[in-house]
Amino acid sequence: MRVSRTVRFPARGAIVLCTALVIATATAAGCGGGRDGDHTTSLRGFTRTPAPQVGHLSLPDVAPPSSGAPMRLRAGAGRLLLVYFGYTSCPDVCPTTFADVRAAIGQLPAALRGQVAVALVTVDPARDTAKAMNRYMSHFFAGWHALRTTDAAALRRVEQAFGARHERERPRADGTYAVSHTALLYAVDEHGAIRVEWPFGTPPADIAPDLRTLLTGTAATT
Amino acid sequence: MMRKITMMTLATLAAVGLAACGGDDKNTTTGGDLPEKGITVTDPWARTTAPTATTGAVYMTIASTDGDVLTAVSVPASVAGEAQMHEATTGANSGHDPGDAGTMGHDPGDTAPMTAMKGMRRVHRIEIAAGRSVHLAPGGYHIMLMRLAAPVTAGQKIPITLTFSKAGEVTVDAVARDR
Repeated sequence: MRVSRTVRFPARGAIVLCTALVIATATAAGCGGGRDGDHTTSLRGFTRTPAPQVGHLSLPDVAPPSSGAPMRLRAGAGRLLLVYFGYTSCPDVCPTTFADVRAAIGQLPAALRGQVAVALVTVDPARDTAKAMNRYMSHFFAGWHALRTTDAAALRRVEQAFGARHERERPRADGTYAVSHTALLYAVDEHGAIRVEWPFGTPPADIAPDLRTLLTGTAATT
Repeated sequence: MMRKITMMTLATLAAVGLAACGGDDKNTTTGGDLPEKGITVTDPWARTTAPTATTGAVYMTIASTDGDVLTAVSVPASVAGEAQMHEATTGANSGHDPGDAGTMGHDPGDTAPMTAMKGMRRVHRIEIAAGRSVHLAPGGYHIMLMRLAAPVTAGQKIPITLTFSKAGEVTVDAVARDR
């Protein structure tokens, strides 16, 4: 939907809200259905073919107990790694996404919940210290990865592999600033392939089934 | 392809969805009903924040019988240093003033709705058409709390003063919740 980019009348929030409702309605109506007995899964999010490969890249993980050790952008065996590019001073989009991720994981059967890892890649390393990132993520999750680098070129390489980018905005009067960033949530598998991505606003009720499909179907992946 | 089917379905249903969502919000929980001012605020809520967060967001639905314009928002200093109205933006010029459009030399990838960057931009007025509602919701308009004095915790009530062109000042309590 490109509506939110070009429409300028006041009910913009309504457009976003309605779009989310429409997405939920469409998927609930079974429009996201795939084919039975096929390795092609019935994913509600978007997929790219071939799946982008990001597993060869790594970033320092400043979450405990890693304390800065490099982490490859891929999940552990049989698991999924959810990757999001954001920053902790973000008041709206990032907290909304992580709240949705938490809710989606909560909708999984208990046995699968522990199979999903979440990583925040900060696009604002200047303000997002390790401590700030960890306290932020601890608000949403019991465990997480906090990927942080002050090496702009390294961050750019990782972003490009995902197809993401960011841009720091002009400072406000009080010196604070926003950072525009691609607001997609990516699911990476143990092979370092992006298996599905969900745009901002995807309801937890649509993320959870995709997580389940990928986690229970990984054994059948071609 | 899945994506085409989904997009076509979205396009088809969007018209219905938009039409259905254009009217008043029936979701009335806490809020302010001030018929003499023509303003109804429903479900004002604040998102809970991480302990070290410096920014927060408040959302609500505002309806106006005769039409009005929200021109300013404020919160007590005990909550945050400042409150501002913001809108989420999508695309190459996210966060820049409209006057900057066209000077950024954005590449074609920025027009892709999914990978386009999301940012936000301060706005100085939010118009509510007569008989209509405006939703301040995640990913759309929001009231940004800047320089938080303390983390926003679940159940906390935050008084927000909304200043309207016609209705003047309206104060409501936003209740904090996780989502």
